[in-house]
Amino acid sequence: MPKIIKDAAISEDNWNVLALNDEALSASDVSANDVAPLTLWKDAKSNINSAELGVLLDSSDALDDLLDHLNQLPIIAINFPLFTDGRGYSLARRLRTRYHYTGDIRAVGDVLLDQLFYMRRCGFSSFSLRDEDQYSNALNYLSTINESYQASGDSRDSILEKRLKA
Amino acid sequence: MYQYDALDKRIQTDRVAQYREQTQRFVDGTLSNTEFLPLRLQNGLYIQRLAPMLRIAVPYGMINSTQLRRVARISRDYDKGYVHFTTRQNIQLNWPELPESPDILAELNEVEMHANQTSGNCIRNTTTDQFAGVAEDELTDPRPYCELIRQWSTFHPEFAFLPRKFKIAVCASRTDRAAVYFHDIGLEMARNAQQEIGFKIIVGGGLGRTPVIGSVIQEFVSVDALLPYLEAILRVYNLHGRRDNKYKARIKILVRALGIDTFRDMVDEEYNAHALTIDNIGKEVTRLSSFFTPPAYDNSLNADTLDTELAALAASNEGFARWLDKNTHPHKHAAYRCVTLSFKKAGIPPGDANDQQLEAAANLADKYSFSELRISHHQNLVLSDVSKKDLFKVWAAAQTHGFADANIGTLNDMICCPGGDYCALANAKSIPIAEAIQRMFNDYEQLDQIGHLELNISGCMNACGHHHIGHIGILGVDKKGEEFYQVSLGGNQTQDAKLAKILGPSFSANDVPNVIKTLIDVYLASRQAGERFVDTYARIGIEPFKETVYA
Repeated sequence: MPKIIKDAAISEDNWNVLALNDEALSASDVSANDVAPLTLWKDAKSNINSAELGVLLDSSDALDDLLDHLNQLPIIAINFPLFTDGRGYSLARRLRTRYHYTGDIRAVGDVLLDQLFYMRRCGFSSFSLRDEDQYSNALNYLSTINESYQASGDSRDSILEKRLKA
Repeated sequence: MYQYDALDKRIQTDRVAQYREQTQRFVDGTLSNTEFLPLRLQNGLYIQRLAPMLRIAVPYGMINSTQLRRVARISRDYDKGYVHFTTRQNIQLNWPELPESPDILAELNEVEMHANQTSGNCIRNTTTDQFAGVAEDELTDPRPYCELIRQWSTFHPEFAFLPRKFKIAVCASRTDRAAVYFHDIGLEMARNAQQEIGFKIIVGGGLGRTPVIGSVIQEFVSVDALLPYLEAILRVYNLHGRRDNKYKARIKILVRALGIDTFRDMVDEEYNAHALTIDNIGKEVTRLSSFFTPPAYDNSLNADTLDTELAALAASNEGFARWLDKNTHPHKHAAYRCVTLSFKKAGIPPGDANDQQLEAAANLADKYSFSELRISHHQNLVLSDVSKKDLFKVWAAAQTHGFADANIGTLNDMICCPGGDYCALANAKSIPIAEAIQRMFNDYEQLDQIGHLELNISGCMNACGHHHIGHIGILGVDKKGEEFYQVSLGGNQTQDAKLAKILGPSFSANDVPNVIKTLIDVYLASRQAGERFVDTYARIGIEPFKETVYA
């Protein structure tokens, strides 16, 4: 089983994240414990217990189709086609702070060690690294800077909040 | 000026350690060039034509004498003993070694400096008026708000991989010295009907390949809503800005494609959905403002007496009179002036200073200006609080160190990018063009006669020399491998923002000084009383200039 980082630990992945843009796949191929690309998820969700089906967004996808289902969705995976494509950070941030989504937000795709900290701060809660061999010391990169100036999608008190409370 | 508390120290020390570890992995070969690139850029390190370049952040241009001395020492120890002041009020080292860059950042951190986000597709250093806090014509001191924005934008996790770089400028004065209409976001401080302080927000301005004058997105945003509103703008841009073409990726292209009204609706929708204001932000603004209180001015000084003494000194010393007129600026305390130390001397690249000059300027600041300096958008240093009784001494000292040229605001105080001598992007050299013009107009009387004139030179269309907003702009272009220069007229960087118009076909490097001379002659022959070059241009248009130059 592939590895992931979740809850600040390395674990086995219980989800099967389907490929984006695989034209051979149709909604009938989607089964329980899959994380399906948005278009497939829309068609497949009536057939599968909602607690056992996740959705995979590409960085260019909008959140509109998910908004009525956020309470049931156990996992939303967000793809980084390239690590320099920063749209995923705003998608996660919107899910956490605007829509108050409490399920798992998974970073997939071009996910590298040096971006884990900012991803976590934006609300990502699990990470599937691009390079399997980087898991060994990956946990060190989850909190490389121990303070943050601004509130974001994690639960950490920002420096601003600390000062305002002081 | 702002001083770190334990939290600021901790965050910056962690940052240096983070960058050191990343650089180590790059040197080891475990981190690829592509993957290291944005990390080093966001710590200020570019790879230029001949060597790396490290851009040190000088938040909103404020630097103290201890910091300036440290920059001088770093330039000696790690570089060739000189630095360059940029149009965004930062300091560049031209020849550092990549493996030593973490050591430089550690040395900077010891004096509360850094190179955070001075490059890369993130929120860059926030800039403001070089006379902030002392200008006669300002509504309020913008620096506490600049610091608020600096902290909010520093290591903002959501906006480190934007479609493109993002620049914010703040101005609080009647005369805009921060070019707020030419930034991704410009903030013009304002009061509402209730006399509360807030911000007019301008979005989507910029220079570069596609110069655009920014559009007003909000006439008034209150202080408690500022950061949430900025965040809403950035989020809409991050999600919708183009990522397929880096030349179309700035926010100005998005705003223009959508139209300001649609863009505003999207931002307002995002802002209102969060319904966030930071209710007790006033507490933090008060804390930040405490760092920008007026220094201990000598209130026993009699401004009228000092003015009489200065007038007498000026009457008997022409050089001092000229310097007093050109290089000092009114101060809100009547017994003080702001002094600009000129780093525009023919033969030295505009905005370059050597280590000894930096140390001399630091000493002058200690002795005469409460140990603080500013870097101006025009690439000079400013001593913001010099008593009128000390002006003559400051002038005499400045002369010994080579930064007393009385040319501020004149043709020779040009803005100029490093150009083809240093920069990998440049199409043409810009420094030799600046020098040739400075040598042609080397006579003070001639410069006086010409009066206020902003000449801006960029070595390529990325426009780091802001040629689009110069009264006269010069742009280096490549024509089949040869360097040519396109001239434009009539740009204006203040609230009355205008983009310059191209005069016509470009010129060879040798022709440029004579072309500038011809343009000046047309102006001098056509001007009416009190008109600056740009005013005459506005009245008579481009045609008379064109006809004479291409005759």
